Amino acid sequence: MKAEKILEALGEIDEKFIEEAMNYNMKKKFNWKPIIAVAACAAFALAAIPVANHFANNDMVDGGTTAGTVAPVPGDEVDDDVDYVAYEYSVNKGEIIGNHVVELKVSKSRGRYVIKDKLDTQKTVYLNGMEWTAKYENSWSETDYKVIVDRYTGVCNGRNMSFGVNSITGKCEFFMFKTTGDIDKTVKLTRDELYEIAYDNFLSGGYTEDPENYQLSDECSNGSAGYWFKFTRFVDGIETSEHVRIGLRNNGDLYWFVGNRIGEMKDVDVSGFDMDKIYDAIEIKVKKIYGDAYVDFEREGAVLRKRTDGSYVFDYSGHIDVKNSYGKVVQERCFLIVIMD
Amino acid sequence: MTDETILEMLFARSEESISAIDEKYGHKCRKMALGILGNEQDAEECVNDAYLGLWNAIPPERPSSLAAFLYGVLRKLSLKKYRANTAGKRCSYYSDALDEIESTFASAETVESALEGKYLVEAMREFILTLNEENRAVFLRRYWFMESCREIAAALGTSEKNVTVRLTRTREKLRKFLEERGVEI
Repeated sequence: MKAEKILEALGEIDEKFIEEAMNYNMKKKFNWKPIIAVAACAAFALAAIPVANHFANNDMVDGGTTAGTVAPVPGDEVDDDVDYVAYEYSVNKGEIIGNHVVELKVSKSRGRYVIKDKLDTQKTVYLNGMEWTAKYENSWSETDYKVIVDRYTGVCNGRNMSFGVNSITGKCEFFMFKTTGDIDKTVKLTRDELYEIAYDNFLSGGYTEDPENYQLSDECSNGSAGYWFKFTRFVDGIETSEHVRIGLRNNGDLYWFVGNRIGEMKDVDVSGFDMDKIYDAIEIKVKKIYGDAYVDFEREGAVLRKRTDGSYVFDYSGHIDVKNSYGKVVQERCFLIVIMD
Repeated sequence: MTDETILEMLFARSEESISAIDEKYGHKCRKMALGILGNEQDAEECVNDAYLGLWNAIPPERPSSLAAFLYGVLRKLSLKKYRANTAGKRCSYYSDALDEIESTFASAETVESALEGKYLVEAMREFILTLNEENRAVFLRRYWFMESCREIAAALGTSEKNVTVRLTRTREKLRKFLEERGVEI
Protein backbone atom coordinates (compact mmCIF):
# COMPACT_ATOMS: atom_id res chain seq x y z
CA MET A 1 0.00 0.00 0.00
CA LYS A 2 1.44 3.35 -1.06
CA ALA A 3 0.49 5.32 2.01
CA GLU A 4 2.03 2.76 4.32
CA LYS A 5 5.22 2.72 2.28
CA ILE A 6 5.45 6.47 2.43
CA LEU A 7 4.79 6.62 6.16
CA GLU A 8 7.30 3.85 6.71
CA ALA A 9 9.90 5.68 4.66
CA LEU A 10 9.20 8.77 6.70
CA GLY A 11 10.28 6.77 9.73
CA GLU A 12 13.83 6.69 8.40
CA ILE A 13 14.46 10.42 8.39
CA ASP A 14 17.23 12.02 10.38
CA GLU A 15 16.73 11.98 14.15
CA LYS A 16 17.45 15.68 14.37
CA PHE A 17 14.17 16.43 12.61
CA ILE A 18 12.34 14.27 15.13
CA GLU A 19 13.85 16.25 17.96
CA GLU A 20 13.05 19.46 16.17
CA ALA A 21 9.42 18.46 15.70
CA MET A 22 9.15 17.44 19.36
CA ASN A 23 10.46 20.74 20.60
CA TYR A 24 9.20 23.16 18.02
CA ASN A 25 6.90 25.90 19.20
CA MET A 26 5.24 28.32 16.84
CA LYS A 27 4.46 30.64 19.66
CA LYS A 28 8.05 31.72 20.00
CA LYS A 29 7.62 33.64 16.78
CA PHE A 30 4.60 35.47 17.99
CA ASN A 31 5.02 39.15 18.58
CA TRP A 32 2.85 39.96 21.54
CA LYS A 33 1.83 43.54 21.58
CA PRO A 34 1.63 45.47 24.82
CA ILE A 35 -2.09 45.95 24.51
CA ILE A 36 -2.60 42.21 24.49
CA ALA A 37 -0.48 41.89 27.59
CA VAL A 38 -2.50 44.54 29.37
CA ALA A 39 -5.77 42.93 28.36
CA ALA A 40 -4.50 39.56 29.43
CA CYS A 41 -3.38 40.90 32.78
CA ALA A 42 -6.85 42.25 33.30
CA ALA A 43 -8.31 38.90 32.35
CA PHE A 44 -5.91 37.24 34.71
CA ALA A 45 -6.94 39.52 37.51
CA LEU A 46 -10.57 38.66 36.90
CA ALA A 47 -9.76 34.99 36.71
CA ALA A 48 -7.88 35.20 39.98
CA ILE A 49 -10.94 36.35 41.90
CA PRO A 50 -12.68 32.95 42.10
CA VAL A 51 -9.34 31.37 42.89
CA ALA A 52 -8.80 33.89 45.61
CA ASN A 53 -12.24 33.19 46.99
CA HIS A 54 -11.51 29.52 46.89
CA PHE A 55 -8.39 29.95 48.97
CA ALA A 56 -10.12 32.34 51.29
CA ASN A 57 -12.54 29.57 52.11
CA ASN A 58 -10.02 26.78 52.30
CA ASP A 59 -6.96 26.81 54.49
CA MET A 60 -5.48 23.78 52.84
CA VAL A 61 -4.71 23.78 49.18
CA ASP A 62 -4.68 20.61 47.15
CA GLY A 63 -1.36 18.90 47.50
CA GLY A 64 -0.96 19.75 51.12
CA THR A 65 0.49 23.17 50.73
CA THR A 66 -0.55 25.44 53.50
CA ALA A 67 -2.29 28.45 52.19
CA GLY A 68 -2.03 31.65 54.06
CA THR A 69 -4.20 34.32 52.59
CA VAL A 70 -6.06 35.24 49.53
CA ALA A 71 -3.96 35.33 46.46
CA PRO A 72 -3.13 38.82 45.39
CA VAL A 73 -3.74 40.13 41.95
CA PRO A 74 -1.46 42.42 40.05
CA GLY A 75 -1.52 45.78 41.68
CA ASP A 76 -2.15 44.54 45.21
CA GLU A 77 0.23 45.33 48.03
CA VAL A 78 2.05 42.20 49.11
CA ASP A 79 2.84 41.56 52.72
CA ASP A 80 6.22 39.91 52.95
CA ASP A 81 5.24 37.96 56.04
CA VAL A 82 2.36 36.26 54.36
CA ASP A 83 2.63 32.62 53.47
CA TYR A 84 2.31 31.80 49.82
CA VAL A 85 -0.78 30.52 48.16
CA ALA A 86 -0.54 27.76 45.68
CA TYR A 87 -2.83 26.71 42.97
CA GLU A 88 -2.66 23.46 41.08
CA TYR A 89 -3.24 22.88 37.46
CA SER A 90 -4.05 19.55 35.98
CA VAL A 91 -0.90 18.32 34.35
CA ASN A 92 -0.04 14.71 33.87
CA LYS A 93 3.31 13.57 35.10
CA GLY A 94 3.99 12.07 31.72
CA GLU A 95 3.82 15.45 30.16
CA ILE A 96 6.87 16.47 32.07
CA ILE A 97 10.16 15.31 30.69
CA GLY A 98 12.67 15.25 33.46
CA ASN A 99 13.09 18.68 34.87
CA HIS A 100 12.12 20.26 31.64
CA VAL A 101 8.68 21.68 31.46
CA VAL A 102 8.11 20.81 27.89
CA GLU A 103 4.56 21.84 27.67
CA LEU A 104 1.86 22.45 30.14
CA LYS A 105 -1.64 22.39 28.86
CA VAL A 106 -3.15 24.42 31.58
CA SER A 107 -6.78 24.13 32.39
CA LYS A 108 -8.98 26.90 33.67
CA SER A 109 -8.35 28.91 30.52
CA ARG A 110 -5.03 30.00 31.82
CA GLY A 111 -3.22 29.83 28.55
CA ARG A 112 -0.22 27.74 27.90
CA TYR A 113 3.49 27.95 28.40
CA VAL A 114 6.31 26.24 26.67
CA ILE A 115 9.66 26.26 28.33
CA LYS A 116 12.83 24.48 27.45
CA ASP A 117 16.44 24.37 28.48
CA LYS A 118 16.36 24.59 32.23
CA LEU A 119 19.85 25.96 32.55
CA ASP A 120 19.13 29.01 30.52
CA THR A 121 18.81 31.77 33.03
CA GLN A 122 16.39 33.91 31.16
CA LYS A 123 13.46 32.79 29.16
CA THR A 124 10.54 34.50 27.66
CA VAL A 125 7.39 32.84 28.81
CA TYR A 126 3.88 33.55 27.75
CA LEU A 127 1.26 33.07 30.35
CA ASN A 128 -2.26 34.03 29.62
CA GLY A 129 -1.02 36.50 27.08
CA MET A 130 1.40 38.14 29.48
CA GLU A 131 5.03 38.13 28.59
CA TRP A 132 7.25 37.10 31.44
CA THR A 133 10.91 37.15 31.91
CA ALA A 134 11.30 33.82 33.58
CA LYS A 135 14.22 32.23 35.29
CA TYR A 136 14.55 28.56 35.99
CA GLU A 137 14.81 27.79 39.65
CA ASN A 138 15.00 24.66 41.63
CA SER A 139 13.30 25.20 44.90
CA TRP A 140 12.74 23.36 48.07
CA SER A 141 9.86 23.97 50.35
CA GLU A 142 10.47 22.94 53.91
CA THR A 143 6.95 23.50 55.15
CA ASP A 144 5.79 21.09 52.54
CA TYR A 145 8.41 18.54 53.33
CA LYS A 146 10.58 17.27 50.59
CA VAL A 147 8.46 18.37 47.75
CA ILE A 148 10.91 19.49 45.20
CA VAL A 149 9.48 21.87 42.76
CA ASP A 150 11.28 22.66 39.60
CA ARG A 151 9.80 25.93 38.91
CA TYR A 152 10.06 29.06 36.95
CA THR A 153 9.79 32.41 38.56
CA GLY A 154 8.88 35.36 36.51
CA VAL A 155 8.12 38.98 36.84
CA CYS A 156 4.94 40.34 35.46
CA ASN A 157 3.91 43.90 36.06
CA GLY A 158 6.63 44.13 38.65
CA ARG A 159 5.22 41.25 40.65
CA ASN A 160 7.04 38.04 41.36
CA MET A 161 5.12 35.00 40.31
CA SER A 162 6.12 31.45 39.81
CA PHE A 163 4.88 28.15 38.59
CA GLY A 164 6.40 24.77 38.26
CA VAL A 165 6.17 21.07 38.53
CA ASN A 166 5.96 19.22 41.77
CA SER A 167 8.24 16.33 41.02
CA ILE A 168 6.55 14.10 43.56
CA THR A 169 3.00 14.52 42.40
CA GLY A 170 3.87 15.34 38.84
CA LYS A 171 1.41 18.16 38.96
CA CYS A 172 2.05 21.71 38.03
CA GLU A 173 1.80 24.08 40.91
CA PHE A 174 1.29 27.71 40.39
CA PHE A 175 2.44 30.05 43.06
CA MET A 176 0.46 33.20 42.94
CA PHE A 177 3.30 35.13 44.43
CA LYS A 178 6.57 34.60 46.15
CA THR A 179 6.93 35.69 49.71
CA THR A 180 9.25 35.23 52.60
CA GLY A 181 9.28 32.00 54.50
CA ASP A 182 10.38 28.63 53.39
CA ILE A 183 9.80 29.24 49.77
CA ASP A 184 12.64 31.70 50.07
CA LYS A 185 14.91 28.69 50.19
CA THR A 186 14.68 28.89 46.45
CA VAL A 187 18.01 29.04 44.75
CA LYS A 188 18.20 32.61 43.73
CA LEU A 189 21.49 32.69 41.93
CA THR A 190 21.75 32.69 38.22
CA ARG A 191 24.12 30.32 36.58
CA ASP A 192 26.69 33.05 36.00
CA GLU A 193 26.49 34.19 39.60
CA LEU A 194 26.98 30.67 40.81
CA TYR A 195 29.90 30.25 38.45
CA GLU A 196 31.56 33.30 39.91
CA ILE A 197 30.97 32.22 43.49
CA ALA A 198 32.22 28.74 42.76
CA TYR A 199 35.38 30.10 41.23
CA ASP A 200 36.06 32.57 44.04
CA ASN A 201 35.40 29.91 46.64
CA PHE A 202 37.71 27.51 44.96
CA LEU A 203 40.59 29.97 44.82
CA SER A 204 40.23 31.01 48.43
CA GLY A 205 38.85 27.85 49.92
CA GLY A 206 42.01 25.88 50.46
CA TYR A 207 40.53 22.84 48.88
CA THR A 208 43.82 21.99 47.32
CA GLU A 209 47.43 23.06 47.51
CA ASP A 210 47.74 23.78 43.83
CA PRO A 211 44.59 25.58 42.66
CA GLU A 212 46.54 26.95 39.70
CA ASN A 213 46.55 23.47 38.22
CA TYR A 214 42.79 23.24 38.28
CA GLN A 215 40.49 24.25 35.50
CA LEU A 216 36.90 25.18 36.01
CA SER A 217 34.57 23.40 33.69
CA ASP A 218 32.15 25.65 31.91
CA GLU A 219 29.47 23.06 32.39
CA CYS A 220 27.04 23.58 35.21
CA SER A 221 25.52 20.33 36.33
CA ASN A 222 22.29 19.80 38.12
CA GLY A 223 22.12 16.74 40.30
CA SER A 224 20.06 15.67 43.22
CA ALA A 225 22.32 17.72 45.45
CA GLY A 226 21.74 20.86 43.47
CA TYR A 227 23.76 22.80 40.98
CA TRP A 228 27.48 22.47 40.93
CA PHE A 229 30.58 23.33 38.98
CA LYS A 230 33.53 21.05 38.67
CA PHE A 231 37.20 21.96 38.97
CA THR A 232 39.43 19.35 37.43
CA ARG A 233 43.13 18.97 38.11
CA PHE A 234 45.58 18.95 35.24
CA VAL A 235 49.14 17.72 35.59
CA ASP A 236 51.48 18.70 32.77
CA GLY A 237 48.43 19.46 30.66
CA ILE A 238 46.92 16.05 31.26
CA GLU A 239 43.54 15.83 32.92
CA THR A 240 43.45 13.76 36.07
CA SER A 241 40.50 12.29 37.86
CA GLU A 242 40.99 14.63 40.80
CA HIS A 243 38.39 17.26 41.11
CA VAL A 244 36.53 19.61 43.39
CA ARG A 245 32.91 20.40 42.98
CA ILE A 246 31.31 23.50 44.33
CA GLY A 247 27.67 24.30 44.10
CA LEU A 248 24.36 24.96 45.63
CA ARG A 249 22.21 22.45 47.35
CA ASN A 250 18.54 22.41 46.53
CA ASN A 251 17.89 24.24 49.76
CA GLY A 252 20.07 27.10 48.60
CA ASP A 253 23.13 26.38 50.77
CA LEU A 254 26.54 26.65 49.20
CA TYR A 255 28.48 23.44 49.48
CA TRP A 256 31.61 21.87 48.18
CA PHE A 257 32.44 18.32 47.51
CA VAL A 258 35.87 16.84 47.18
CA GLY A 259 36.34 13.97 44.84
CA ASN A 260 39.10 11.47 44.36
CA ARG A 261 41.37 12.31 47.24
CA ILE A 262 42.41 15.81 46.40
CA GLY A 263 46.00 16.65 47.19
CA GLU A 264 47.27 14.85 50.21
CA MET A 265 43.85 13.69 51.27
CA LYS A 266 43.99 10.04 52.10
CA ASP A 267 41.66 7.45 53.47
CA VAL A 268 42.14 7.04 57.15
CA ASP A 269 42.36 3.91 59.20
CA VAL A 270 39.14 4.19 61.17
CA SER A 271 40.17 1.77 63.89
CA GLY A 272 41.23 4.70 66.08
CA PHE A 273 37.89 6.46 65.79
CA ASP A 274 34.64 5.89 67.52
CA MET A 275 32.64 5.54 64.34
CA ASP A 276 29.35 5.22 66.19
CA LYS A 277 29.83 8.69 67.61
CA ILE A 278 30.62 10.01 64.18
CA TYR A 279 27.54 8.38 62.75
CA ASP A 280 25.46 9.78 65.59
CA ALA A 281 26.81 13.25 64.95
CA ILE A 282 25.94 12.94 61.32
CA GLU A 283 22.47 11.66 62.09
CA ILE A 284 21.86 14.68 64.26
CA LYS A 285 22.89 16.85 61.35
CA VAL A 286 20.69 14.89 59.02
CA LYS A 287 17.74 15.28 61.35
CA LYS A 288 18.39 18.97 61.52
CA ILE A 289 18.21 19.18 57.78
CA TYR A 290 15.34 16.81 57.20
CA GLY A 291 13.39 17.27 60.40
CA ASP A 292 10.53 14.92 61.08
CA ALA A 293 10.65 13.71 57.54
CA TYR A 294 13.80 11.81 58.41
CA VAL A 295 13.18 8.10 58.33
CA ASP A 296 16.34 6.19 57.90
CA PHE A 297 20.00 6.77 57.35
CA GLU A 298 22.27 4.15 55.92
CA ARG A 299 25.61 3.80 57.61
CA GLU A 300 27.34 2.50 54.61
CA GLY A 301 29.47 3.91 51.91
CA ALA A 302 31.11 6.53 54.07
CA VAL A 303 34.81 7.23 53.90
CA LEU A 304 36.92 9.01 56.46
CA ARG A 305 39.72 11.07 54.98
CA LYS A 306 42.41 13.37 56.19
CA ARG A 307 42.85 16.73 54.59
CA THR A 308 46.06 18.60 54.01
CA ASP A 309 45.26 20.99 56.87
CA GLY A 310 45.12 18.08 59.31
CA SER A 311 41.37 17.99 59.70
CA TYR A 312 39.29 14.95 58.90
CA VAL A 313 36.52 14.73 56.40
CA PHE A 314 33.72 12.27 56.64
CA ASP A 315 32.71 11.95 53.07
CA TYR A 316 29.33 10.35 52.89
CA SER A 317 27.46 9.64 49.74
CA GLY A 318 24.24 7.80 50.22
CA HIS A 319 20.54 7.89 50.45
CA ILE A 320 18.25 9.10 53.12
CA ASP A 321 14.65 8.06 53.17
CA VAL A 322 12.29 10.89 53.79
CA LYS A 323 8.57 11.23 53.64
CA ASN A 324 7.00 13.92 51.60
CA SER A 325 3.83 15.68 52.59
CA TYR A 326 1.82 13.17 50.65
CA GLY A 327 3.06 10.38 52.88
CA LYS A 328 5.22 8.83 50.21
CA VAL A 329 8.71 7.75 51.16
CA VAL A 330 11.18 9.16 48.72
CA GLN A 331 14.90 8.74 48.70
CA GLU A 332 17.07 11.78 48.68
CA ARG A 333 20.67 11.36 47.76
CA CYS A 334 22.97 13.50 49.77
CA PHE A 335 26.60 14.29 50.30
CA LEU A 336 27.62 15.07 53.80
CA ILE A 337 31.01 16.32 54.76
CA VAL A 338 31.89 16.65 58.39
CA ILE A 339 35.05 18.42 59.33
CA MET A 340 36.34 17.19 62.66
CA ASP A 341 38.82 18.89 64.92
CA MET B 1 17.61 12.84 34.93
CA THR B 2 19.55 13.66 31.80
CA ASP B 3 19.65 11.43 28.75
CA GLU B 4 23.39 11.15 29.21
CA THR B 5 22.89 9.74 32.70
CA ILE B 6 20.32 7.27 31.42
CA LEU B 7 22.71 6.20 28.69
CA GLU B 8 25.42 5.64 31.27
CA MET B 9 22.98 3.55 33.29
CA LEU B 10 22.14 1.53 30.21
CA PHE B 11 25.81 0.96 29.54
CA ALA B 12 26.23 -0.10 33.15
CA ARG B 13 23.31 -2.50 32.60
CA SER B 14 21.36 -0.91 35.40
CA GLU B 15 17.74 -1.96 35.28
CA GLU B 16 16.82 1.33 36.87
CA SER B 17 17.53 2.89 33.51
CA ILE B 18 14.28 1.45 32.20
CA SER B 19 12.35 3.02 35.05
CA ALA B 20 14.09 6.28 34.33
CA ILE B 21 13.20 6.05 30.66
CA ASP B 22 9.61 5.24 31.49
CA GLU B 23 9.47 8.11 33.91
CA LYS B 24 10.81 10.50 31.33
CA TYR B 25 9.34 9.28 28.06
CA GLY B 26 6.64 6.78 29.04
CA HIS B 27 3.70 9.09 28.63
CA LYS B 28 4.74 10.33 25.22
CA CYS B 29 5.53 6.78 24.10
CA ARG B 30 2.13 5.47 25.17
CA LYS B 31 0.42 8.36 23.48
CA MET B 32 2.32 7.75 20.28
CA ALA B 33 1.71 3.99 20.28
CA LEU B 34 -1.94 4.58 21.06
CA GLY B 35 -2.12 7.00 18.15
CA ILE B 36 -0.94 4.27 15.82
CA LEU B 37 -2.70 1.27 17.31
CA GLY B 38 -5.84 2.75 18.82
CA ASN B 39 -5.74 0.15 21.56
CA GLU B 40 -4.31 0.76 25.01
CA GLN B 41 -3.30 -2.81 25.67
CA ASP B 42 -1.45 -3.10 22.38
CA ALA B 43 0.12 0.30 22.94
CA GLU B 44 1.40 -0.72 26.37
CA GLU B 45 2.79 -3.93 24.90
CA CYS B 46 4.62 -2.03 22.18
CA VAL B 47 6.04 0.45 24.64
CA ASN B 48 7.41 -2.39 26.75
CA ASP B 49 8.83 -4.02 23.63
CA ALA B 50 10.44 -0.72 22.72
CA TYR B 51 12.09 -0.52 26.13
CA LEU B 52 13.36 -4.06 25.64
CA GLY B 53 14.58 -3.10 22.19
CA LEU B 54 16.40 -0.15 23.67
CA TRP B 55 17.91 -2.33 26.40
CA ASN B 56 19.19 -4.78 23.81
CA ALA B 57 20.47 -2.13 21.43
CA ILE B 58 22.32 0.01 23.99
CA PRO B 59 25.12 -0.89 24.25
CA PRO B 60 26.72 -1.12 21.74
CA GLU B 61 24.61 1.66 20.20
CA ARG B 62 25.05 5.13 21.65
CA PRO B 63 22.38 7.26 20.01
CA SER B 64 22.91 10.99 19.82
CA SER B 65 19.31 11.47 20.84
CA LEU B 66 17.88 8.93 23.22
CA ALA B 67 14.34 10.23 22.74
CA ALA B 68 14.42 10.11 18.96
CA PHE B 69 16.01 6.67 19.08
CA LEU B 70 13.36 5.39 21.45
CA TYR B 71 10.50 6.90 19.47
CA GLY B 72 11.99 5.44 16.29
CA VAL B 73 12.07 1.94 17.77
CA LEU B 74 8.58 2.37 19.15
CA ARG B 75 7.21 3.65 15.86
CA LYS B 76 8.54 0.67 13.96
CA LEU B 77 7.19 -1.78 16.51
CA SER B 78 3.83 -0.09 16.58
CA LEU B 79 3.52 -0.09 12.80
CA LYS B 80 4.45 -3.74 12.77
CA LYS B 81 1.82 -4.46 15.36
CA TYR B 82 -0.68 -2.38 13.45
CA ARG B 83 -0.12 -4.42 10.32
CA ALA B 84 -0.51 -7.63 12.28
CA ASN B 85 -3.69 -6.41 13.91
CA THR B 86 -5.50 -4.87 11.03
CA ALA B 87 -6.87 -6.67 8.11
CA GLY B 88 -9.17 -4.12 6.65
CA LYS B 89 -10.28 -2.51 9.86
CA ARG B 90 -8.96 0.89 10.69
CA CYS B 91 -9.35 2.51 14.01
CA SER B 92 -6.58 4.90 14.96
CA TYR B 93 -4.83 8.17 14.16
CA TYR B 94 -2.49 6.11 12.02
CA SER B 95 -5.46 4.91 10.01
CA ASP B 96 -6.52 8.51 9.53
CA ALA B 97 -2.99 9.42 8.50
CA LEU B 98 -3.00 6.61 5.96
CA ASP B 99 -6.31 7.79 4.55
CA GLU B 100 -5.02 11.32 4.20
CA ILE B 101 -1.90 10.22 2.35
CA GLU B 102 -3.84 7.86 0.16
CA SER B 103 -6.28 10.57 -0.81
CA THR B 104 -3.35 12.58 -2.14
CA PHE B 105 -1.93 9.75 -4.22
CA ALA B 106 -4.17 8.05 -6.71
CA SER B 107 -2.41 4.83 -7.56
CA ALA B 108 -0.90 2.52 -5.04
CA GLU B 109 1.01 0.26 -7.37
CA THR B 110 2.88 3.02 -9.12
CA VAL B 111 4.43 4.37 -6.01
CA GLU B 112 5.33 0.96 -4.76
CA SER B 113 6.98 -0.10 -7.96
CA ALA B 114 8.80 3.14 -8.63
CA LEU B 115 9.95 4.04 -5.20
CA GLU B 116 10.83 0.98 -3.30
CA GLY B 117 13.07 0.62 -0.31
CA LYS B 118 15.98 2.96 -0.08
CA TYR B 119 14.94 5.17 -2.95
CA LEU B 120 11.71 6.08 -1.24
CA VAL B 121 13.54 6.68 2.01
CA GLU B 122 15.99 8.99 0.25
CA ALA B 123 13.17 10.84 -1.43
CA MET B 124 11.39 11.39 1.86
CA ARG B 125 14.62 12.60 3.46
CA GLU B 126 15.05 15.10 0.65
CA PHE B 127 11.47 16.18 0.88
CA ILE B 128 11.72 16.88 4.59
CA LEU B 129 14.62 19.21 3.87
CA THR B 130 12.48 21.26 1.51
CA LEU B 131 10.00 22.13 4.26
CA ASN B 132 10.41 25.07 6.52
CA GLU B 133 10.67 24.49 10.25
CA GLU B 134 7.01 25.12 10.98
CA ASN B 135 5.60 22.93 8.26
CA ARG B 136 8.13 20.24 9.05
CA ALA B 137 7.06 20.19 12.69
CA VAL B 138 3.40 19.96 11.73
CA PHE B 139 4.03 17.31 9.10
CA LEU B 140 6.17 15.13 11.35
CA ARG B 141 3.91 15.44 14.34
CA ARG B 142 1.06 14.26 12.13
CA TYR B 143 2.76 11.53 10.12
CA TRP B 144 5.68 10.53 12.31
CA PHE B 145 4.20 10.86 15.79
CA MET B 146 0.64 10.26 14.55
CA GLU B 147 -0.78 13.06 16.61
CA SER B 148 -4.22 14.37 15.79
CA CYS B 149 -4.62 17.83 14.27
CA ARG B 150 -6.14 19.04 17.50
CA GLU B 151 -3.16 17.79 19.51
CA ILE B 152 -0.74 19.39 17.09
CA ALA B 153 -2.57 22.69 17.22
CA ALA B 154 -2.52 22.66 21.01
CA ALA B 155 1.13 21.66 21.14
CA LEU B 156 2.31 24.26 18.67
CA GLY B 157 0.12 27.06 19.88
CA THR B 158 -1.90 27.49 16.72
CA SER B 159 -5.38 26.72 15.46
CA GLU B 160 -6.60 23.35 14.24
CA LYS B 161 -7.57 24.99 10.98
CA ASN B 162 -4.05 26.27 10.52
CA VAL B 163 -2.69 22.77 11.03
CA THR B 164 -5.15 21.24 8.58
CA VAL B 165 -4.32 23.78 5.89
CA ARG B 166 -0.59 23.31 6.39
CA LEU B 167 -0.97 19.55 6.13
CA THR B 168 -3.03 19.74 2.97
CA ARG B 169 -0.46 21.99 1.32
CA THR B 170 2.42 19.84 2.46
CA ARG B 171 0.81 16.67 1.15
CA GLU B 172 0.25 18.39 -2.18
CA LYS B 173 3.84 19.52 -2.15
CA LEU B 174 4.92 15.94 -1.47
CA ARG B 175 2.88 14.70 -4.39
CA LYS B 176 4.51 17.24 -6.72
CA PHE B 177 7.93 16.51 -5.26
CA LEU B 178 7.60 12.82 -6.04
CA GLU B 179 6.20 13.57 -9.48
CA GLU B 180 9.20 15.74 -10.27
CA ARG B 181 11.41 12.80 -9.48
CA GLY B 182 9.74 10.82 -12.18
CA VAL B 183 7.25 9.09 -10.04
CA GLU B 184 3.93 8.71 -11.66
CA ILE B 185 1.31 9.34 -9.04
